[in-house]
Amino acid sequence: MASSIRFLVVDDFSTMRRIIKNFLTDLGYTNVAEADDGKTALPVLKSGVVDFLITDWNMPGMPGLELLKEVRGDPAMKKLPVLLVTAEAKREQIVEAAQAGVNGYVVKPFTAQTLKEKIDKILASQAAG
Amino acid sequence: MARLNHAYAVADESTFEQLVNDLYIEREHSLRTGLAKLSQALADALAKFQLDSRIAALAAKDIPDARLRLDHVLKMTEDATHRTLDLIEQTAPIAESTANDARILASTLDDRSHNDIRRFLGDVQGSTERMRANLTEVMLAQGFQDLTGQILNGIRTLIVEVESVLDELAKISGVEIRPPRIEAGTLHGPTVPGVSTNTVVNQDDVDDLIAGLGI
Repeated sequence: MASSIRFLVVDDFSTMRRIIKNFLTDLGYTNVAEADDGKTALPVLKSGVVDFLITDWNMPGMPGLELLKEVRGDPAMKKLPVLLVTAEAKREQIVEAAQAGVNGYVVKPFTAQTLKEKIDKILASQAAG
Repeated sequence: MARLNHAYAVADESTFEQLVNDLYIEREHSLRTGLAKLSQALADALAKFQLDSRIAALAAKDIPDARLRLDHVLKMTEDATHRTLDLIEQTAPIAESTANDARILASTLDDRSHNDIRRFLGDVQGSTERMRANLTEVMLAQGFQDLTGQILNGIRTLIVEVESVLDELAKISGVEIRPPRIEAGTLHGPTVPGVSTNTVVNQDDVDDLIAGLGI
């Protein structure tokens, strides 16, 4: 079941996309798509082939928070799990992201343990809810 | 003014027009004098702040060079990170399969015999699993490229803004661009494409140059 979850990793840095994708593969999630900003991610999300969104915040084009708001504003994606993985570490930004409906927030640089914990926690609450 | 009033009172149209015209010329003259004074003051101020050839050189060469240098740093860190990730991706499965092979082999051995071999296989399994875990940490540490890249991008934006301001100032001051004087013995550091001039491309170039010098 775990490996069938379809992830979308959105980050403008190709190195970070590759790191997160490799890490997900290590965890057994082999179905991972990539996008380099919100604009390119949105059509993929709207096509309904994504079960879990992991996105950066600071990106040219469409930043992660705007993407999150688009996702939450779309009835079909209202409950899509969204994990923000970002260098933005100000308290008010974390609050803003939480108010916009994010499911988890990881500050870069992160450890394997942290990323795994957040993903597991979100999946567990999805399964329960 | 009295003459103007008089001309108006006696309805002397031509004198009135002449006087109004004189007034206009006088006013225009003082305006021009004021503008000349102002532009002189501006030129003096520019000179005072040394907005001379050095500023022009900054705008025309140094700042665009700094931008190129940053772009090159970003590219180098990105390439190095991808290279590291390539090697991690190649090495991790080796560690994984070695750990697996050791486990399978150990399980086929008789419990009462081959104690040394079983201990060795246990060690191999443990150490290759630690290698695998360390490779994951090395992979995550490569996230530095994203973080440093974001900081460099911020500085790059600032440099572009400074460049346009300096460019405007250089245009206003209208001075000729004089390249900065390079002191003898100045070191230039790593080659930056589009910035460095008269540099060798690789070790072969160095060897050729050295050989050409009879060394």
